[in-house]
Formats: sequence, structure tokens, C-alpha cells
Amino acid sequence: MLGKIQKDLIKLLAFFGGLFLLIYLGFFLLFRSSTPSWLTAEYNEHLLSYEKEMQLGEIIDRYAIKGQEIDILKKQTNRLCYVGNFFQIKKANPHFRVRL
Amino acid sequence: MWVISSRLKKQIRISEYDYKIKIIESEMINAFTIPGGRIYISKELILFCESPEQLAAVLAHEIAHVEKRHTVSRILKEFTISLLFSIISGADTVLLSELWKTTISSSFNRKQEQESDEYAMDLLEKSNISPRTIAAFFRKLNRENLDYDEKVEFLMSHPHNNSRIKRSLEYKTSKGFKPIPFDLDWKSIKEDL
Repeated sequence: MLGKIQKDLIKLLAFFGGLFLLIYLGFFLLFRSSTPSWLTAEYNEHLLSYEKEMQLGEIIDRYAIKGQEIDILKKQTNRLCYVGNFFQIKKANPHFRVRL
Repeated sequence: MWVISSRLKKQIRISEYDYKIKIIESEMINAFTIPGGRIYISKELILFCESPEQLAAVLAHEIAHVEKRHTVSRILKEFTISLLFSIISGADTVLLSELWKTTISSSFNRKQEQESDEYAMDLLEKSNISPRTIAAFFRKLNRENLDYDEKVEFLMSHPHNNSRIKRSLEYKTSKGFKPIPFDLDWKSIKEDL
């Protein structure tokens, strides 16, 4: 009796094990190039709308990046002001020289 | 930057993003994206590029991360959607600090990097920039022994330089493709930085 139960149990395990293996192989072949998303939730970007993404980006930018940016336009304006000032001073005082 | 980015942007037919590209002061050769189409390029990276085409190649790669929404996917791996919503609505500084750390420390996986490289090569071709520029950029990195160096942190998750050079050289451009160089005085642009 006990032997029969053991045999049935092994058969049952083999059946479900085989079934699981078949399903796994099926998915493996279907998504060979990528890991199935249901397994790792790799493709989750649709959860956040574009609008919310923009807001998030703005907040991160405001919080972490501000102050690190290089304002090229401002740099060039400063340089122009410097050149402008130089010519004004030079006009007032022809002997004025700048050693660079 | 505007000249280079606008040539690339013109070729992205449909995009949800209004790109904002900024140059930041950093000692590292670095380029990164945060959600919402914001791309940051370090001054050091611009100085490292030998031509505007090389900078365009880096930019195209970052645009690919944005268009494929890799940045969002990366953040969503670490943060739940409700946590992100609470950041958007409340802008809690502690949460923001954690989010910022995640944004800069966690990297894209190799598949995302490869996907971005392919997108970038396609975008470069459409923009009349040779996709082989990617190879030129990585050759320079190799020459200066910067592969996986701490100075180029942003490359850590990227496929190895040599494989990227190979893929870039193997990329087949369509018949009649003719690269149009940027009409920029690259040397003086770099001096202006």
C-alpha cells in the first residue's frame, strides 16, 4: 500500500515537474532575446506617464544639478563686456596696456 | 551644443520630449540622463572629444536612453510608483536625495546599452554623421587607457569598448550615405569652455 502511494507521488511529481519544464522551455524559446518581463519586471517604464516623468526630471534638476551648469552665453557676454571696457579705457587713456 | 543637438533632434520624427541639454562642471568624463529628456554633458567630456561628431555620437547615445525610457525603468526598479508620486507632489528632500543617488549610481543594463548604441548609430546615419564616429571615440578612450577607469564611471555598465568599436565599424550604412561635417571651429569652442 505504502509502495503504491510512493509510486503515485513520484508519478505526480514527475508529471508536474515535466509540465513546469515544458512551460519554462516554451517561454525561454519565445523570449530568447530577453528575460521574460513577468519574471523580472524589467519593462516597467509604462507605469510612469510622460507628464509625470517631465515633472520628476524638473525636480531632480532643480535639486541636484543647479549650480553645476556652465552658462556659456554668460561667459561670452562677460568676455564681450571685458573687451568693451578695455576699448573704453584705452580711448580715455591711450597709454593703457593689458599684459595677458 | 545647440548646432549639434538640433541636427540630431530633427531626425527624431516623433518624440514626447522637449530636450534640455546642459554642460556641467565636472572633472570626470561623463554624460548622463535623468527623466524628462534632460541630458548632462561634463565639460571634461567635451574637452576629450576630438570633433563635434564625436560629441554628437555621445549625445545620440544619451538621446537613445531617453527615447527608450531607460532612465524611468532604472528608477522604477529602485522606487515604487507611489514613492515617485510623493516626490513629485511633495518634493521631500530626503527622498529626493535617495532618488538622486539612484539616478547617478545605478547603471543601465548591458541590453539597454546595446539597444542605445544601435539607436544611436541609426540616428547618426539619419543625421548625416558617420556611425563610425563611435569607434573613433572609443579608440581614443582605449588609447588613453580610460576603459573602465574610475574617471569614466559612466562607462562601467557599458559593453566593453572593443566590442562597441567592432559593432560601430560593422554597421552598414545605406547606399549613398554621405557624412556632412559640422561647420564648427571645434578648437575655439573647447577653448571657450
